[in-house]
Amino acid sequence: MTNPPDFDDRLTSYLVSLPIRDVDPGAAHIASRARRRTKHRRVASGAIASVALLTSAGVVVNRLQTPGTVRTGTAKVKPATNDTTTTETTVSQSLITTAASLAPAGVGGGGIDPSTLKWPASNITWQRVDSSLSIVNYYGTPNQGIRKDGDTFLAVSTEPSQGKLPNPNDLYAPKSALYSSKDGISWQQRMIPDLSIGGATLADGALYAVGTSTAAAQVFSTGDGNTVADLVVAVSKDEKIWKNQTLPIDLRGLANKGANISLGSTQIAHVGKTVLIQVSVQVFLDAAKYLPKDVPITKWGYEQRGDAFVVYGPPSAEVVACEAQVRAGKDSGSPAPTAFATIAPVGTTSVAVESTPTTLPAAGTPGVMSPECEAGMQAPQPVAGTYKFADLGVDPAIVAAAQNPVHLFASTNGEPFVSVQTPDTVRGLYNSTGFLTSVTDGVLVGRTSYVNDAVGSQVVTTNVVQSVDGKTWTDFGSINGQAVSSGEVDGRFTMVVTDNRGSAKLVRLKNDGSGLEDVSDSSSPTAAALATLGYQTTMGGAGFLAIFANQWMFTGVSVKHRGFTFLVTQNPSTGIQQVKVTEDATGAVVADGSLAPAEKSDPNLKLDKHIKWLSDSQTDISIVDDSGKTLVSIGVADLINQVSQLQLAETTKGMRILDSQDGATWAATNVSDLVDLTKVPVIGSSNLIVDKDRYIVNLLVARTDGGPADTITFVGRRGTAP
Amino acid sequence: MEPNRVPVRVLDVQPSLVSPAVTIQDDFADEVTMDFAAWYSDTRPTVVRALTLTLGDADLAREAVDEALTRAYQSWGKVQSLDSPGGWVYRVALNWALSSFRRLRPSKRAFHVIPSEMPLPADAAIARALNALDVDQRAVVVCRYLLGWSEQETADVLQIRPGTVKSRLSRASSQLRSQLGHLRPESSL
Repeated sequence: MTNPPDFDDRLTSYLVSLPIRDVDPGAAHIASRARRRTKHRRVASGAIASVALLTSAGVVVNRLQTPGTVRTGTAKVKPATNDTTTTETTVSQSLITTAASLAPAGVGGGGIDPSTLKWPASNITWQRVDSSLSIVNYYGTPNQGIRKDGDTFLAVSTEPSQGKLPNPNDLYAPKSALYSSKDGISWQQRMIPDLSIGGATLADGALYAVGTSTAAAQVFSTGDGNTVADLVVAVSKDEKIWKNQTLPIDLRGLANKGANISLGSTQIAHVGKTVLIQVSVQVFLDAAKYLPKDVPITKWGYEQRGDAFVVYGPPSAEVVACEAQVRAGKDSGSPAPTAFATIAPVGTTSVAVESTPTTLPAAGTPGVMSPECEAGMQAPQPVAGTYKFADLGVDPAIVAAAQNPVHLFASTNGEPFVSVQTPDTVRGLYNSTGFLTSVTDGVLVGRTSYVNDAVGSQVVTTNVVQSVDGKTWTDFGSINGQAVSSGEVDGRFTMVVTDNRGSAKLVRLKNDGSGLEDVSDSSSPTAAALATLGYQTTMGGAGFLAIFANQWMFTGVSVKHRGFTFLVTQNPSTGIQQVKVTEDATGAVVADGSLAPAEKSDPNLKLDKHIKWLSDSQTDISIVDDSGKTLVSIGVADLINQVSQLQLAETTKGMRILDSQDGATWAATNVSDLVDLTKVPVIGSSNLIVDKDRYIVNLLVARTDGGPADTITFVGRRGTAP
Repeated sequence: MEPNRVPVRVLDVQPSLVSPAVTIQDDFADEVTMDFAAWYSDTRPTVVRALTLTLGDADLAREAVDEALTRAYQSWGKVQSLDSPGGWVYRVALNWALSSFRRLRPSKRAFHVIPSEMPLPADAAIARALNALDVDQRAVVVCRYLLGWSEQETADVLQIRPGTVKSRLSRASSQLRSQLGHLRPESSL
């Protein structure tokens, strides 16, 4: 009999062999991301040198994406003309989506600092749902976990037994389950066999649930060795007898032909007796398998783009020359900051700014990229070759699937689901995401596409079509930006759309139904507030709901070190750390700025001493005097660790739930009025829902053991108890 | 449970990561980028694995590693000169991931529990035991058992004292031992 192996071996074996799902963006993507960031940073640094923030009528312009960003005072210099700072373009659609739903709108877009806005008290009365329930537990996808059909709320959440994970860092996802409620307060589980549920709807007297089968026979391996399961719809009128149908998309066939498959979001809606299901199926190909051996896919990177592999080549000679220009500046010694602005401590107001005009080196100066180079850097990374899948012998079914990740299916009167061909404007592109929204007189299908323009910048566009029968479609046109939430308010389809600068706008269907219109009124303070609504919004018959963490920049952890006090705060939405350094002996603020965007010593962070730090969290913050002597250094990692241990109540005490019935006039509920933040550390929201007369908020609550956050639910109604 | 074998050593040796407080500027030149691409291909899978096991969140790990690799590219001239660029990426990614909001963010909803990815019975015990460790302990375990680093190397990467590595590993080992004792050879029980 063989002894079982030592658990050291088993442990190592486990660590080495555990399947890890990864989507490698490729070195080219990473390099491109770094270049864009550097490019933006350069542009931003030019802007920040000549921009002071305006204090006018209590409004503080806030540019969190630029180095040393949050300042208050009176401007004495003109605004920059080259302020083209944009939010970073990430490498995948999922990240873009996440960023868009989490990043506070207005950040980087020159929005209004929400901390300065005065919100009227809301007249919503809130009631907490029984905390023993786990409705839309911690993994709830924002705005997709709960929906309302008729008089019934449906929520996809964790199974009861797994609602509270026994371990905070469980490697395995808990199983999902479906719950329903008539009032949002009392919930019951709906039992659906053999299905990991992605969404459900009530239509024509039946419950429709869509998800992936848990039946072993319907689980199979994909091309990369991972597994996926058939997409299944379960339908029942009595919830005793279920009729299951596999959606007509041949995942197994694609897998057998070598495709790597990743299932994304599933959305379900109905219009009359027609039920529609939208699913996202990403298909990835192994480039090394298909491309000729002599194609250097690891040298400069490559990308799977639509129906082809795009293999990148080296940067152009112009780009290399421009980078050399910057390096020349470094090699000749870092250009010492020569202009310093007196900057008020964060959060103070009406402090005179003693600002000096910018002394940024002129174009062509070593160490700074010239305008010509900046223009040249806008060019996308050179492509060495484009290899069409069809020419590489890739199966046509895989080619088609790779180009069209968003699929729509429909069933009418209980008939089998069939694939629906939507208009071209909302058909899935390889680089797009979709949404499905029910309204009173139909269903809206939308697509947000992300397309690189000729100079490599990403153009984000949202197209919308409507159908009253699930078969014929009316095109509502397109609007620039990404739809982050959509619904029906006052009988009109409405979206909140963000652009790539983080600004938000309110887009509604025109009264005559002829198309979409931007109804944001930039001259209105309340409309301007829309741009700062925070990291999550939703809407429905009762209006709008938004939540954001306010005043994050005014609290933090204080670390004393060699005669200086480092006050570190963190924006809970963006993760950006803000550091204010005070000299203990004099009380002078010697530096104040943002860690994350700062690349190097920033003259604009300077008061009477020069602070320098690096953006990388492995390095130190150093304060040097004007002679270059280092006065104090402290590890950024230490500071960040301190922030990580910060009492969350301190950073979230300004968190508010905002509500509006028309998108123009807003009122607020302080989260601190709902829970004792010192005992219930709320860090955000996983889910918001609005129906015709109720508001539901799922608040995320940090666990003391550091694991994934728990959720507590509040249901609100205007004026009366829920 | 002192590891007495080095099963994999996929990252660079001697990850001495006590970086000087210097200003790093962009220096991605032609030849550097070529180096970067090759290094990227070699390094990324291992760092993603290590961080996924450390954090217990593949999405967060992937995001963090991509962020760290982006920073590595921006500062490639400096990073590549380090003794362990891979260790640098692991630590930057770990720090990034552990910032409070990201650590506490809602995980993405799992669409499907993949039966075939569920561990074998013995591995399930290992998974449970690993998950019972806190992230600091798990980082040490991953550095020592997956990456095969010495105590000093682990200490350098995690920016803690070697004694802290030892104590964390000791506590982790004790905890693992109590839960995984049944996997040990009978003679050592």
